[in-house]
Parts: sequence; C-alpha cells; structure tokens
Amino acid sequence: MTKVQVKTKRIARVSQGDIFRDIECIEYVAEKRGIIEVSKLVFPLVVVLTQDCDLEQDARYRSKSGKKPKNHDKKLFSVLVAPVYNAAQVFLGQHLSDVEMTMTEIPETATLGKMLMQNERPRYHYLNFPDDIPIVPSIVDFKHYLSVSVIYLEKARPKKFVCRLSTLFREDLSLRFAGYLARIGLPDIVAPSKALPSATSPAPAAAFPADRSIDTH
Amino acid sequence: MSRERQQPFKSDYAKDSSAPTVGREEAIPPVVPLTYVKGTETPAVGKPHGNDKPYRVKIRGKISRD
Repeated sequence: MTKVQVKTKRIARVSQGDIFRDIECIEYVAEKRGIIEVSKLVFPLVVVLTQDCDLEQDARYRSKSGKKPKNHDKKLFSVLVAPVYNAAQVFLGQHLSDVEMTMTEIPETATLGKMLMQNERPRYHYLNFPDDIPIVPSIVDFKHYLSVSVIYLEKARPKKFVCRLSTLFREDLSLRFAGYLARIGLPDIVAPSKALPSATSPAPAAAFPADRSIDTH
Repeated sequence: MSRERQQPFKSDYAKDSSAPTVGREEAIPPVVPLTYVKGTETPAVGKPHGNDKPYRVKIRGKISRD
C-alpha cells in the first residue's frame, strides 16, 4: 500500500488534511437539580475534512494582521473532522471498545481486508504513514464524523497538531468522503415468487416489503 | 397552536414564582450565574494519555445559583 505524504510543519491556520491528537467532542450536557453532567468523547486522532478554501476564508476573521472582511459571510461555526482509528484494532473490531461499541471484524488477510487497504471499500480510507511519522497504519471510517468548534480547534492547534496530509492525499480523502456521503441508499428489492400465478392465487407479494432495509455498503 | 407549542424551550425556571415576568408572558427564565462548585472527573477507561482508542470522560459537578 502506498504511503501517504505528509508535512509536519503547521501553517498559521487550521487546514484540510490536518491531523490532530486528543480532540474532545461533547456528547451531551445535562443538568438536573443543580448537578451538571458533561459527557465527552476523546478521540486520539482526527483528520480535518472541511474544505480548505472555507478554512482559509474563515481564518481571515481570526488573523491579527491583514484586512478583516466587512461582514461575517464566510465565518464558520465548526470544522468537520473524522476520527482516525488504529488499523489493527479496526481489523479486530475493537477500536471502539472503550466506548462500549463492538464493531464488525474485518479479516486483514481476506479479500475484504485487502480491498480496504487498497481503498476499494467506499466506507473506509486506509492511511499508511511514513516511517518518520509516529502514527501506525490507520483507517478513517466515513460513517464517523463530527464537528469541532473552530475556536476550540484554533486554541488546541499549537499543542495538538501532529501533521498534515499533502495536497494530493488530502484531496483523495476528501473526494472519497464526499462520494460516500452522497451515496444513494437503495432498498433491497425482493424478487417476486417464481411460481406462476393462478386464477385462484393471491396477487404477488409487494416488491418493497414493509421491513425493507437500506443498502448502506 | 397551543400555548405550550409557542414555548418549546420553557424550562423549570419558569415554574419559579420569583422568576421575573415580561409583559403577559411568564416563561422568560431568569439569568443566573452558574458557579462550578465541585466536579468529579470519571477516570477514562484505559490510558487517558497515549491511548489509541477513543474513550469517554464524564464530569459531574454541583452548580450554584448564588
């Protein structure tokens, strides 16, 4: 599998393809009788998916130098990120075990695992990092994505930036994510009964049963 | 449309008789400072630092309305 190319020098703003560590996501905040509970998920690694031009325009509002835009038309509330999971744990279906989730095992040496590592499975994106980057082979699951406050990410950026995918590789990730998100879920169409209808037999079953499921790859 | 539907964010504060009222409506919650008094942080499963699996942290604390 081809290794991705990355840059380790961060630029002056959040950029598409940036990889950050230990990013927190607020799951919920609840208050009852004066007791407040905050539940948050901490993701060891995430990659930024928001379009880079949007991030570039948003950064103008936060820049200390340069002319600020006249209005807030291009300002963002949040940045879209996707968790980056340890590939070995994904193959075992154990990458979310600490949040009480058991995932499907994907045999690494079987066809499904090999297809995943070739980025031929639409749901997943395999990332193999260069040797000088302290990240093990990883997988992005396009079913998992979250928004992170721009302000939070800007503050966390100096300490939590790990590296940035080079342009070609970030475009590959972005395009595959967009393609997966834009997929059309089709119902499982049940084939009609093979028996020939007789004059006394009931009408054939509906082609779309009530409990039809949606194919989500 | 019912009165309840017009106030989807009506909170328990509105039931407080000391809450200020505005005009004929009574559902404007008072603005009170919330002070974080004491919180307990649930230890994360596994290693909080250096762990390569996502984990959950819950923080509980009492808030004061003084």
